[in-house]
Amino acid sequence: MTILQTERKTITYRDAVREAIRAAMEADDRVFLMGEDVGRYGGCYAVSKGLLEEFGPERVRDTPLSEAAFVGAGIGAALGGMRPIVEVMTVNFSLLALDQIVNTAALFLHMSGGQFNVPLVIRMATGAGRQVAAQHSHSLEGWYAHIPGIKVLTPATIEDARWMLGAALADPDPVIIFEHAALYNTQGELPPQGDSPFDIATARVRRPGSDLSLITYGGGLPKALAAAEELSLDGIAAEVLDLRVLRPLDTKAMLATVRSTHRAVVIDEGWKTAGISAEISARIAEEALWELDAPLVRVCTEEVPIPYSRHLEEAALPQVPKIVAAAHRVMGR
Amino acid sequence: MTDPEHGRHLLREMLRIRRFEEKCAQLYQAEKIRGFLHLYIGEEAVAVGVMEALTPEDAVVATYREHGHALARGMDPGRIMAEMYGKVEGCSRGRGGSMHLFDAGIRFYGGNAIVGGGLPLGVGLGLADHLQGRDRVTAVFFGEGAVAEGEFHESMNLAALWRLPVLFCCENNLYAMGTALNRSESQNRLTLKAASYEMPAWEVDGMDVLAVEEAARMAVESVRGGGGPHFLELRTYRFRAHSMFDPELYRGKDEIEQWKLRDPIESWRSILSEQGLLSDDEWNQMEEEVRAEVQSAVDFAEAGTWEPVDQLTRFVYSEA
Amino acid sequence: MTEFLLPSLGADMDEAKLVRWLVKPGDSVRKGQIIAEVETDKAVLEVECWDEGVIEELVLAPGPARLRVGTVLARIRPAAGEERPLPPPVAPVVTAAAAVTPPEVPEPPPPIRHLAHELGVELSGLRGTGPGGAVTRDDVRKAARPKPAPGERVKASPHARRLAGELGVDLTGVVPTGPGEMITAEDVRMTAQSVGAVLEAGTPSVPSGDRAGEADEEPAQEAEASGKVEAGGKVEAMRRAIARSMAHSKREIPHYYLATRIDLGKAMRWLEEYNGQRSVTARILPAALLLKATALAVRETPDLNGHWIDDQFRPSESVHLGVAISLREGGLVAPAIHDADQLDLDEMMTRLRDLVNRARSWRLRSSEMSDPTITVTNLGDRGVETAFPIIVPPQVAMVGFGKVVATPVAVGGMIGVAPMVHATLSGDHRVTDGHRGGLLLMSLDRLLQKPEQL
Repeated sequence: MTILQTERKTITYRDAVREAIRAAMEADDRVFLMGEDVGRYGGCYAVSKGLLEEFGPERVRDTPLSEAAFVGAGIGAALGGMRPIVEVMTVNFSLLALDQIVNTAALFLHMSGGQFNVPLVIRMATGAGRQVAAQHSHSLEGWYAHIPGIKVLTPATIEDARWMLGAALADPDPVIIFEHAALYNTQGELPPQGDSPFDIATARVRRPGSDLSLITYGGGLPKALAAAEELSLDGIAAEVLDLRVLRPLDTKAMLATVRSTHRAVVIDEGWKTAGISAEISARIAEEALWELDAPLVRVCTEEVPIPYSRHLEEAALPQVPKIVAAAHRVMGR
Repeated sequence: MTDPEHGRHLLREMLRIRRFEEKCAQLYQAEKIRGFLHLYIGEEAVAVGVMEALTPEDAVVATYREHGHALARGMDPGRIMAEMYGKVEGCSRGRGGSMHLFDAGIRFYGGNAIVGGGLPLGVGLGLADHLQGRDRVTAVFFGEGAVAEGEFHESMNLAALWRLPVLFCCENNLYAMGTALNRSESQNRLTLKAASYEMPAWEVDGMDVLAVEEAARMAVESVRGGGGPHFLELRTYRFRAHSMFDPELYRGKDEIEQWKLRDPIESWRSILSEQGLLSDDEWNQMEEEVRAEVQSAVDFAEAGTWEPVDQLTRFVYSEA
Repeated sequence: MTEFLLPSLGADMDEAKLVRWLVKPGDSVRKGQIIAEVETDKAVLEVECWDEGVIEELVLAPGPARLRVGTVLARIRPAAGEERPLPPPVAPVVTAAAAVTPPEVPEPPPPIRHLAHELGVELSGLRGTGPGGAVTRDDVRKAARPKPAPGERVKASPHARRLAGELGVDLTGVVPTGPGEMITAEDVRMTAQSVGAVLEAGTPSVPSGDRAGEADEEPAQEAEASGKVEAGGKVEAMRRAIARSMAHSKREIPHYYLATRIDLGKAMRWLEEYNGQRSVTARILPAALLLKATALAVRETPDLNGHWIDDQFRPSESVHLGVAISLREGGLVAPAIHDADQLDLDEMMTRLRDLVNRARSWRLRSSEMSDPTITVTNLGDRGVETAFPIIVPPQVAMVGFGKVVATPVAVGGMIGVAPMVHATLSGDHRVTDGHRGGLLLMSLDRLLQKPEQL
């Protein structure tokens, strides 16, 4: 395997995403970026800062505040031979484009009997934790994972932030990438990447352990890792599984970790009720019930809209102590 | 003065739609076709007229009332009928049904059954053409009901803002299912809405196939020439129910009868006859040929096969 | 369906007569319920059953026939909804006394023991979940929880249920440590292991610190591997284990041997009187007396109580008395009676009975196998007058008793006859010498002269 990039470097998640967009646009003329404030403003999260200057307004397109139209235009452009990266500022606003994503992008291939695939990539920020209150704090990636026909990626690491986009663009079908807003400032080393296609199909064990599995994704990963570290002080070896992909779910990896630890805590910033955590739990129960040595426990967002007030918001969201407590609960100690 | 052959061609295209759909209604009642079945009868001049203005490279985005568009665009009637039967030989392998006719070969992008949902898609197809410097046009059909949707306004604005090669064809048949335009819009002049986006917009008599064709040709030419998106309000009327099960409480029979007096097929046939461009024999022969074509479509559908259930999960994601 | 077999109730009990049934078909039985009386050459004994359920069939009627141990006496239908396949037949395999491993788990500190005492929890059976396997308060509290009532569904995780099925472990006998007092797979494994400690003969394990020169030592194997044991091979393996351990002991431990005769006249008379007031089951055997006396004597000579690890003696604050129990298939085990010096005679007797029963039904717990601090062997039943035991490493002493013999003795210048027993001590010269060892035998003698204080 050729190592394309030999030097390890430390960058932010934000830089990693920007680098991914830049590289994709350099590599393929069909790739363009469109969304609200991606151009002159530089992106709400400064992800696309500098790209307008580099690629011009045709390929870095500021859109009106018309989520349905520009997401749908992304679908049409993809059908017309382009490889659009559509940035929806946050998942909260994606509800305005839900019809296009769910009724058009996800269904086109199937309704057309396999004639029209939609090679579209939609990126959006997700998650809470920054005191932006109820309408800007949703974690609805689980909703999207409900829909056959789209793929849902949740990069949680610098490496995934950097390389998932390219793989998503190479995918013939609609891919939604959820970037947890709390991750943009995280820093990390970018490991070298070989020239083999980057994996956007499987989950990864981010920390091995033998006593229980912490199953999570996206913004839950740093918390799960911190919890695992804390648990290790109590002599509990937690394995942390980063799902990476919410659709199609890597059931095999989930079952593998449960088969090795026999206990699982699912951490999801979405709500518990009918959420992705329910799906994960159900699959484990369906396919690995006889492996379970304790009831599954979920650490999710409390069943309230996200409050503005800092202490209430913190109380509403999954936090390291909650994960640690849940782990103790399934360990029975 | 109309070119005789072209005149007869327009008539035949409309007649194909009419007879095909009459057969559909019959087959629906015979339970060969199920689900929703939205008939285009009465509105044939719109699809036929607009399609005349398009080239094979152009694209069409239609609605759930799209048999007419598919036929006029050149989709094989047998594959349409097989689709409605739910057979694997259907244009969408039986996955779509009446509302979701697709054909990549003629750039026919559905068959979109969410009111207003096709507009952003059409804008995107236009965007792709714009970005790739192609002089293709995308014709997006939608009913006047879509005008109340946000997606209509967002799409009109975006297309106009970016001057994309899109022809918006609003088929104003006065009723969004049962909701009359004048009971749902504060501004009934649809062209004014388009004009507010700085988009050329014309009102066209949708019962007059020639008028439609002419307006469409002008608009398409302008769009293709870089004039940005255009809007056509095609005033028409559906003679039959919204779908198959519709007691039509929202409109009077006399209104329907009034509109039927302006039946686009009868009108155009009269004109051709009056001008000596269509003899009774020619008409009868046309009827016979169309009847045979429809019958052959039915035969094709009848002879079709069911997709094996083990194929069920195909076409969710692309196959490598 | 569970089969109720004639148990072996004594070291030398190979057969017995069925004297009386205490239950009839259709009766519900609880675990631990006395359901029959049998008569051996020595006594009429009550036998208890180990299963919950309903008596389906009494296979044999009382009579004069001498029945072999292991004969099916009755069939018991498990309680409703708890139908389980018969566990795989347990092969008659035992482990060597020498197979004991050194205590790795720290002794529970006094507060824990206090709590355990208060709650009536036997610490010896507890699996510690604290650091290094230490028993915590929580462990004690969990163990204090009442066992599920008959008919009540045992709360076990799916994984535990599957494993129990695979290993043939009866969930009703498993101590739950999981969340919500649920039985976990680990709990099942521990139960299987304690059985396995007996079953798995091929696991001679010398303390890690005592491995010098033991290059041929085989690593300890997981005892959980399987409930299915092949008899012949395992007996052989057990013999090999004994061989290795004893050879190791003889090679490494410079033994010295001391012997004395102890007059048990007072003790036997006291015991007779004591037992006279008690039911058959509550009676105390002389063995209990000897064990209790030994335990107390050991407390007075702490340098005989503990382990030799890493070239140094590590005394034990507790007295966990290993009791050599011969098994009818051959071989022996030497599980511990924990805190033997703290037990009164009744408790000692109960524990002894329990230990013997469980040793013979392969229900020993791993902790019992692993942590004796000194071992006692009593070969009197075999007609032996004097035993010179080989120390079980890493212990540093072993006490032996022979049979009680009516012996002419001179007392106060007169010749009389007294029941005398030979008490012996094998000591590790690296730790003690004959002088210290003699003190133990003296203490023993003194203690046995005041049986009422035991």
